[in-house]
Amino acid sequence: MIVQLFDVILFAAGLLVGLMFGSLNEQRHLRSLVVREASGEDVMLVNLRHVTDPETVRDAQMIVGQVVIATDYWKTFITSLRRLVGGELGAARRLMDRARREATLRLIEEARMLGAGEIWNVRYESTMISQMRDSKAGAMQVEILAWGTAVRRR
Amino acid sequence: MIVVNTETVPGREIASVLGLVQGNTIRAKHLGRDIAASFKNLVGGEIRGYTELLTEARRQAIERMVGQAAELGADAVVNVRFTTSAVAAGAAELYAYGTAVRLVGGAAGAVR
Repeated sequence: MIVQLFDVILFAAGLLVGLMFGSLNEQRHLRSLVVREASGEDVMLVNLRHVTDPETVRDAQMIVGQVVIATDYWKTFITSLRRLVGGELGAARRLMDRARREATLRLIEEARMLGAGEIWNVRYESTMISQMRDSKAGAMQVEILAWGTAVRRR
Repeated sequence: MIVVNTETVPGREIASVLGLVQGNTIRAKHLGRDIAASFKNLVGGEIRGYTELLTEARRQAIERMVGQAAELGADAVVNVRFTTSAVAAGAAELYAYGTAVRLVGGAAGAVR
């Protein structure tokens, strides 16, 4: 009885902490994304497999951007409820969106470090890391891997 | 070794295709990182421990792939792709594969 009560209190505390800090973290991350995306316009991303005007290419090198990101306890709970009734899982969608944008920005940063103005054949791969855990809470953790070929022109 | 994920090395001509090369690694997370990760499940946000783990693993997979290409005497690996899979509880596999090729003029050869 006391153990069960303790479980309930722990669960409620988890929800509360998740609700408070989860949204704060998300907002902070979104703000940082907006700022960094605004300064990333010097690099062009393309997902075509063939580089146009190959005769002006100086060199090309594959680059990678990677991130593992988790959603909070509150949103995990809300999502598990939402799964019962179906429909769009907004919290999960926002998580994937943030992860992809972050990975893209890291890819752009890599290109900029090389002094490349273009990234060709950009691809994304995702893995739900939560499957790695015993996942009784079904916490959403996702890895996004973005990669492409940084091209420098002459 | 030139590594790209486009179908050819831009500005260069492929002399011969040597075949598929691949590299993989399976990594397990450790307890310290797992504790940090479960905390992140509470408040959300990036799990840096896992990002680092997978970045390191990906680097090793690429290294092994490039090693195979070098054994074949390749100048470049083209059209590189990745997959990640969660193979067992607490372990992830990173797999990198591409096509090893020889270039006209060698690895350092002049651009057309």
